[in-house]
Amino acid sequence: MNRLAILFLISIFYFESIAVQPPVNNASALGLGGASATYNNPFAIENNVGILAFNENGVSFNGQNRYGLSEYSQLSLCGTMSINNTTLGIAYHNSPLADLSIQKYQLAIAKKLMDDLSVGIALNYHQHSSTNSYYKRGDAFSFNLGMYYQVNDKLNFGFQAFNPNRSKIIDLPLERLDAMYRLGTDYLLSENITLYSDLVQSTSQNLSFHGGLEVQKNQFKVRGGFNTNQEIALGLGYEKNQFSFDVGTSYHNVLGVSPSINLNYAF
Amino acid sequence: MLFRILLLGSLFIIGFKVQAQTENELVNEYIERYIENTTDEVDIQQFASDLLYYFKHPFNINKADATELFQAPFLTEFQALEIIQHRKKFGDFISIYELQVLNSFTVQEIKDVSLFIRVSSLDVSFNPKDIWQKGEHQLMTLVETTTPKNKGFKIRDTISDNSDINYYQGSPLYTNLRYRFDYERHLGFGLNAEKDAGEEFFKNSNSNGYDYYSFYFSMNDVGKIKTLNLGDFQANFGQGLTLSTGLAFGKSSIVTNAKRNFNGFGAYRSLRENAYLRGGALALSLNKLDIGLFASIKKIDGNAVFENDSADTEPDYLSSIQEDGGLHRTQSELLDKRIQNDFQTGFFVEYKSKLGKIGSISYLRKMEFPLIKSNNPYNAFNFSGNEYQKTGIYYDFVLKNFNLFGESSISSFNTSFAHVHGALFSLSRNVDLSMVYRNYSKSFITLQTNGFGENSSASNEEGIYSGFQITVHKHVKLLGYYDLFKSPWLKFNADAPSRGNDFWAELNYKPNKQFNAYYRYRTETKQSNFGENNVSQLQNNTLIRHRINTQFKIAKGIELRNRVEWNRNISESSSTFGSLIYQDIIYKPFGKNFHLSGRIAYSKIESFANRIYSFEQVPLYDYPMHTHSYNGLRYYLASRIKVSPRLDIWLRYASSVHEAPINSLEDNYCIGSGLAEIVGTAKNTYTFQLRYSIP
Repeated sequence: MNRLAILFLISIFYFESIAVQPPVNNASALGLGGASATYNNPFAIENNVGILAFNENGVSFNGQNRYGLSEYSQLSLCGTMSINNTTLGIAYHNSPLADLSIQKYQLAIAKKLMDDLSVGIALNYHQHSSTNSYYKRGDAFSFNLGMYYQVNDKLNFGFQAFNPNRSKIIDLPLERLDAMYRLGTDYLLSENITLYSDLVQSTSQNLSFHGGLEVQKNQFKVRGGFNTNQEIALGLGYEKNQFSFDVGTSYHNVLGVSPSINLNYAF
Repeated sequence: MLFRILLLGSLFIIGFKVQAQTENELVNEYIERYIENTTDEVDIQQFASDLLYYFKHPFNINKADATELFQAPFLTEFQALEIIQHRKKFGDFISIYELQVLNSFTVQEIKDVSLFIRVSSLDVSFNPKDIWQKGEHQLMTLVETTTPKNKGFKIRDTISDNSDINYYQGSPLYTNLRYRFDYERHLGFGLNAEKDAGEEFFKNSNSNGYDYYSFYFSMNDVGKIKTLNLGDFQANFGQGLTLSTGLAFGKSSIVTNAKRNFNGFGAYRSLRENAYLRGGALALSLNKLDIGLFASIKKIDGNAVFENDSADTEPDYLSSIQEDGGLHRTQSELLDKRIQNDFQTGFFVEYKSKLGKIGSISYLRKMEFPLIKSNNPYNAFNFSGNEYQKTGIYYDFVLKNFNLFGESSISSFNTSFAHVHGALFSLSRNVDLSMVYRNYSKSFITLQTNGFGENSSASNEEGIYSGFQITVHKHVKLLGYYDLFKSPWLKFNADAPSRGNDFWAELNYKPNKQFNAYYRYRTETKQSNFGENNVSQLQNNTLIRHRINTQFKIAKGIELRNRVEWNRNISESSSTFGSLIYQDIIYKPFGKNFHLSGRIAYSKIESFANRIYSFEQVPLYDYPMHTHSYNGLRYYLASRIKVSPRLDIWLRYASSVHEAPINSLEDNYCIGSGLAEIVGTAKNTYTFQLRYSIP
């Protein structure tokens, strides 16, 4: 009964945009309350494709669950390869929600235009399918454009427009993918403490703020954050040679806990 | 003196290299700085023309009097104040670099203003033989259109010309033509013409071509002639209570905008179709005394009312006159075109001394048809009739670090008064303050006024404004204002005396010339009607606005800007939210003939009260403010190409893509209403401008 109630609440909060506005896509960003416009990892292919140009070669896997519901989980696999000032990225996401299944394939290219400026573009293919006979299958192409720039050694900015043209999923009844605009910054408060913040505007929700701190000590990272969607978050990271992993969890005031884990390999 | 020479020497050593900027970039920068935070209408053409005038003819800060310094749009009032004080104390400036010793100037600000000012007297004296040799010609034309077509054009395409249905008579193209000739600061003349979208061109109602023509001739500082204006001209005196034909800035991010710096007669180069005087104006400079007079006869638009017989050819009265009208697209708009004969004449006397000036302006206005407003109670004390007089006394004095200014005016209707008095204080190196008190009677005639206040109408308002600018740290400034106001009589949508307040603050961080960021907060409370069954009571409406803005010059010629703005409008009955996010890229490579700028923006606006304004890059003289009053995407791409030293071309494409509400069919969605309605969710605008100069 409780599970049904939670699912109902999710549908109130998110269903209108669930098909198109994905949850925070990796554990690092989740630990920062969702701030990710300037966070550099392979998952940036979705958060700000512009930063990918500053990424080295690597692959990352993320698995997450939302609010403790087995019906609402997500798997992501991302890879990046850097050649000179250009980085190529590829990603696959699978995020089911009860009867609805969403798969997304992404192909990206990002380029450093200067030492401190990069831009990127990703082309995305979305597949929506449902076991419920009422809903039809809907496929769509979209794109996201990102930009990242370093003001100085301490301050960076990022901006991304995701699906600004609002691609159609199905014609009748007309349904479009959500568009999302993300403007973020990070600031190095001291040698090992970085402050991240994002302002996110999507077509289905009001402007939201996401902020978090990351403290790095040797191979360990500790993260904490919050956002104005009533969530607080914590995260940990550990790095050993070419391997690293991150865990994060957020707590929603009504819906509960959402855990997430990243496994990364850099080569 | 020795100290001063040594100081100057060191300043030369650490002097700066002025980066060449085109006049277009500079003008746009200043326009943005002035209007980006104001919601009032701004006369872009006139303002841009004035700025260009300074750019072409830099003025001598050693010769300029206090009024000229205060009037210069590129100097703040506090900078002007310091220049005056410095001149009194040390004599003339030896070099522009000497401005570095003044507290109110940063190195970057000196760089900015150095293109508009000089310290040596290079003024070319008036010589009739040089007029054609040294004069400059400039010809500009702009064409703009939007797609898809408005409803008014679609009707035109489907019905016959003699139909009674209202529709736009002309084509959907907007176009204007501007020619100007300038001989130094002494002589200028020009022609401006405009056709709005929907107006006819070279046929029927506009058989002579454009819908609006304006010609001006102006002469300045020739012998005892301070100004001579023939044709169309503007007149702005004192604090704008008695006579001000142009537009003035309201409350904005420049806290000293509370003061008007009007300076008499001037050439009219705008395309606002009724906001000018037409005839002649002469001002003479006789030592410390300036005197002048003017006469104007023109026809202006008005809303005609035919009370008894609809077959009358002449109206019984006008319910309003349009000082900023000019749309003549439909039969009904054409009926209002230039219907009112308007005669005005007046004179002014002004005494100037080292401390400042004091003057008086008086004028009489006679119109053919009486002006009678509707019977609504809030109009009970508004001017009605076809003749009035206004007289005002104004002053503007500088006493040490204080600038005192003001105006008191009397209008003949119900013998009503208006007063505005204020002061600017430069209290210390780091603190500047301004205070303005205004008291405008409910019967005061608001035609051709620009008094400072909540509304620029200078009527039915009492208030006190205080502004501040504090340099908290070398890189951090805090500035803002607090304004308290009340209306002793009823207003539109306020069926009782009402009151309100407006608080605005900005924290500005500029660590270097490459990066600038600010956070801005504004909360404004006003009262309006609330209630049902025609029984109204007043409710408070509070609009709280936040803005975060960053600008970063990432390399020479490349600038990135982004902004997030959000607001909440709270009243007794509702609470609505609005937000805007955008990213700009401006590419202006130094020394190249090609400039490009673009923006992507998204707004989410719950009600019209939450609308957000943003400044866009546009061709010179074009209106740059866009109103985000919808949910949706806005983007544009603007370029400027310098084809040759004489020829410039501007091209611009902009599009607004609205989100249809989730419960409506997208195919039935419309942008706008009435004849301006567009079917669909997208509106595209295409602009082309060309300028040819003969230096």
